[in-house]
This record gives sequence, structure tokens and C-alpha cells, in this order.
Amino acid sequence: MNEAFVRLEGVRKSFGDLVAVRSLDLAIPQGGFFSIIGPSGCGKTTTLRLIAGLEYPDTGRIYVGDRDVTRIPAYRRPVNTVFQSYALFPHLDVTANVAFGLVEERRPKEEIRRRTAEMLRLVQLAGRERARPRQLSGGQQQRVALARALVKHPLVLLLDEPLGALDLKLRKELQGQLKDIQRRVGVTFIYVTHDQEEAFSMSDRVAVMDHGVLEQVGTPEEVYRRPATLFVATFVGEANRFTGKVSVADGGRYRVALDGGTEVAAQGPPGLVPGQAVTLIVRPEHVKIEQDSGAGLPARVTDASFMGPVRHLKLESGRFGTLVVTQHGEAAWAPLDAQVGMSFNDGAAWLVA
Amino acid sequence: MRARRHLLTGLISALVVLFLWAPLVNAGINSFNRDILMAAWKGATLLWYRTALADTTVKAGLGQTITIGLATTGLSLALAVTGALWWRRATARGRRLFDLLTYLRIMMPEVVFAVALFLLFSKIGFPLGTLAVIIGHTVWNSAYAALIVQARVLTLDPALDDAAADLGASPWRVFRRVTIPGLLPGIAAAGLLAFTFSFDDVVTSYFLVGNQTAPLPVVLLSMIRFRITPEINAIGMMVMVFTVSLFGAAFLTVSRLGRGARRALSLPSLADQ
Repeated sequence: MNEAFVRLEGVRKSFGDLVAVRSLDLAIPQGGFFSIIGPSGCGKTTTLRLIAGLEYPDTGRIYVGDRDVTRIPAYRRPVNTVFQSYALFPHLDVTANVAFGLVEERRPKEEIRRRTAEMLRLVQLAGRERARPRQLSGGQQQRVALARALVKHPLVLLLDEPLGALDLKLRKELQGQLKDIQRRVGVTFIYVTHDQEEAFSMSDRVAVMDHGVLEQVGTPEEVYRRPATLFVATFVGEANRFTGKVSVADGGRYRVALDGGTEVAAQGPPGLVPGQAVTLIVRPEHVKIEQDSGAGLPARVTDASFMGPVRHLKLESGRFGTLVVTQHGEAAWAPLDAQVGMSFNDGAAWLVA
Repeated sequence: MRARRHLLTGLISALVVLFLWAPLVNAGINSFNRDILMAAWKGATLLWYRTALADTTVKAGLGQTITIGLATTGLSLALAVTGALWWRRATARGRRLFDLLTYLRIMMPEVVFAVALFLLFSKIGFPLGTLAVIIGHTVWNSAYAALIVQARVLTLDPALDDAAADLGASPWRVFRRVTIPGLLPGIAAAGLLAFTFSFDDVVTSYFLVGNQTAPLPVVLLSMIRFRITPEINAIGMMVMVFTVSLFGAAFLTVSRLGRGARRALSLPSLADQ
């Protein structure tokens, strides 16, 4: 299960002067839901197309299972893709779209009929067999695209922002369905999205990319709580940042002298040394607020918005600039312009070099 | 004052239209006229149609016209489709050059190509005849076909090629199962147009047919020089009905193509989810 099933080794891909992916090493375990996230242009879609065989790397090797597929064309790879625009064949009806890949495999007619019908039931499209793609809603088209890829029983299913064109409510619903389908069929899903929340809600593991470089791979919790770089810290959720220097190092536990003059306890990756410049990351939900402005660092509430389960506050603190805070529960609240005292849990602050 | 000016322009327009259509109406009426001299109406007859259909020169000419038309259509489509597929992936410069060559073939007077081909074929010893005419027709018909097929190529989504390859289709299978069906309306329209243009061509055919069987329009030309009979009117009418219906079919296909492209552009509605 933890063994790498899809492996990219030293993969580089450029289009003219533009380097889309530079020296990428990535190992993806079998049978899970793996996401690649990053801002647009970070190389995540190119990575997916390299695995699909729709692009060939300039250098490096790509393995699926034990097989080196680096130079194998897309139509001979044991992987299938759900495209961002769905790319359904407009001249074929739903059944023929789903059966397309099986026809290419020259499967017996009976088997094609059975597997296609089975798959249409799985994605809840039974009854729409004769419809043309343009007669379907966005969500239905997305499910045809999914069925068309899954019916081939691929070793790996690649999904390129498959929910990007849908509205929020539908997206949430389909996220649940995708996760459910992945668990049922057990195929390795590699999911590309720029939406960190979407990736977190579905994935077992997440890879964060930026400018063609892999920044971090880990479980959503690891990536959120222990970001490897400043980019990851800020791309994955909101982060309050404080610069400072390590004053005491003790394994993964540190004390940091912030540039504002305060010393705080924090955790961080091993290997930071005293005197090293670091950035302290504190998530909005780990900032505590006291009505007594004498407790902790003084700050003023400049904005407050009620979101239902949580409240978002903006604080202005002279020495540390603007901070974002998330409060839970009904007791916690601070009126606009209130002077408050601010602090954060020692265990919750995380250092990046 | 104003009304009178409108009356005048209206009158002139009416006269012009009448003048343009008078020959056709005249030919149409006389194709049924019993009077062989076509001087006066002497009652209706289908005699001239029967004569025309029994005339071996006319029949041979019609066969030749259809042979040339089909061959020209096939060749033009092959050139147009392969050209359009190359054009799809070409650089901007390559596209401009290709377009220039296409437009030149359309704008150049037909007689220029006909004479040039005649001289070239004589010089290299290529025999005049059916094949020479087919080549001559293909020169400009392939240009019209290319324009129509290219317009259709623009509506093809390159992601469909990726999707087909991803699902296991080799490049040839992608062409067969995705590209060709996508181009089909354009191919049909271009084919009908090429066949129609080839069918009523005189100039190129006249220069290049040599002493082989003359296609129908050339047969008509020589019949007129020999003697004008109502039979010519009958042939003219039959050719007209045939080409007009072909052209109508081509036009309908093209306009449906336009609607299809518009539909493809409109986004699927999410409201019915």
C-alpha cells in the first residue's frame, strides 16, 4: 500500500522557453486518492499529462507499476483521464461515449454492453443512455467523462480539475461521490486542482507544486500543520506570519525571538540552528483573544465577519501588522474597534526556514 | 416626389431582374414548345426531352461529366482534408502561406489556369483527355473545398483527440472515429459544391479534354455552334434543375453546419441539474 505505484524520476518538461516542470521526483502509492495542488501555471496539469502520455518528458523517467512508460504513447498506457472540459465526443451518445475505449480494446460486444451498463449505473446515469452530451447538464457530463475513463479498469485514473466548471453546491456533492467511487473501485486516483479545500476534503495524500517544482508531499494534515516552505504555508489555508531568529534549538522544539521583540515557543522541522532566520506560522484558529488588552500582545479589532459556524476577525497589532483570526463558539466574540490581548498556543506555532 | 423616386428605382430593379431571368424563362418555355424554330408557341410537347435523352452524344457527355465530377470531388476532398489537418497544427506563417495559395486559386481567372495547364501538359507530353480535365477542375475546386473544410476544422476541440488517444485509440483510429465525424458536415458541403462546380464547367474542360469524350457543357457549346434546336433548351433545363438542387443541398448543409457550430458554443445549462 505504501509502495510507490506511480513514480516520476527527475522529470523535466518545457514548452519552448517556458519550463513547466523542472526536475520532478514524485512517488504516488497504490489505491489511494492523491491530489496535486498549486496555483495555475505551477505545472500540475503538465505533470498529469506526462503521466497520461499526452506529453513526453524532456528528461527523466515515468513508471506505472513496475513498467517504465516514459516513451509509451498515451493509447498504450494503463491509465485514463477525466479532462477538465470533459472532452465528450459530441457526435456520440452517452452509451457510445462510455463504450469508446472498450471498442478500441476490441472487446466482445456482449462484454462492452455489460460493462457500459454497469458503469452507467455506478455514476447514476441509467436512463440517459441515448442522450447526446450537449443535452446533459454539466454535472451529468462530468459523470459521463468519469464513466468513460473508469470503464476501462485503468490502473490509475487521472482527473484534471474535473469539477472546475461546476457551481459550488454541485461541486460539494460530486466531491463526495468521487471519494465514494474511489473507495468502491479501489483504483489509484490522481487529482489535480487549484482548490486546496477540495483536495483536502477528498485526498489521502497531497502534493503541493509551485513554478514547476514540488514543494511538499504529505497527508492534508501534515501539509497544513507542518508546511515545508513559506509557499506551502500560505497557499494551503490562511497563515499569520512573523519573522524572527531561532534563539534555542532542542530537537523539533524551538524558542524564537520575533523581530517585534517577543520570544515565543514553536515547533519546526529538525535541523534549524540558533541564529537562523525563520518565519513563524500561526493559523487563524490558533490565535487566542482576551478581552483584557493587558493579557498578551495588544491589538485592535478592525474587521469582524460572522460566517455561521465561525467568526473571522482582522486584528491590527502595531508591531506585527495585520492578523487574521478565526473564532469558534458563541462565547468568543470581540466588537469592532475593541482593544484586545492576543496570544497563541505554543504547540500550534510552526517554523519554516 | 419621394414616392415617385421609389417608383422609378423599383421599376428599374424590376426590369433588371426580368432581363436577368428572361433567358431562363425563355429556355424553359421553349423546351416544351412544339415549334422547332421556336418562333411562336405551337403547343406543349415532351418531344425535345425525349430527343435529348436519346441523343448518344448527350448521353456520353453526361457520363463523362459525372465521371469527371466524381473524380474531381474525391481528389478535392482528399486535398482539402489533408490540407486542413496540416493547417490545424501549422505555425501562423505556414497558415498564411497556405491561405494565400488557396485564395490565389480562387481569384485567378479560370481561363489562366486552363491555358497554363494546356501549355504545361503539351510541353511535358501529358495526354489531354479525361485525366487532364480532372486535374484542371481539381486545381480550383480543391481551393473552395479547403476553405469549407478549414472552417469546420476550427470548430474541432483538440481535447477530443487527447481524450480518444487516452481511451486507447491510435492516431489512425482517432482520425477515423473522432476527426472524420467532426469534419463530416464540412466534407459533405465541400463535396457537393465541388461536384456542382465541376458539373457545369466549360472553360477548363474545353481546353483540356482534347479529342476524348466531351463533357455535357462542352457538348452543348458545340451543338449551339452547329444548330440551335429546342433540344438544347431541354438539356439546359435538366442541367439547371440538377445543379440547382445539388447547390441547394450544399447550401442547406452549410447553413446547418453554422447552426451546429453556434449550438456547440452555447454552454450546457446547469439550471436543470
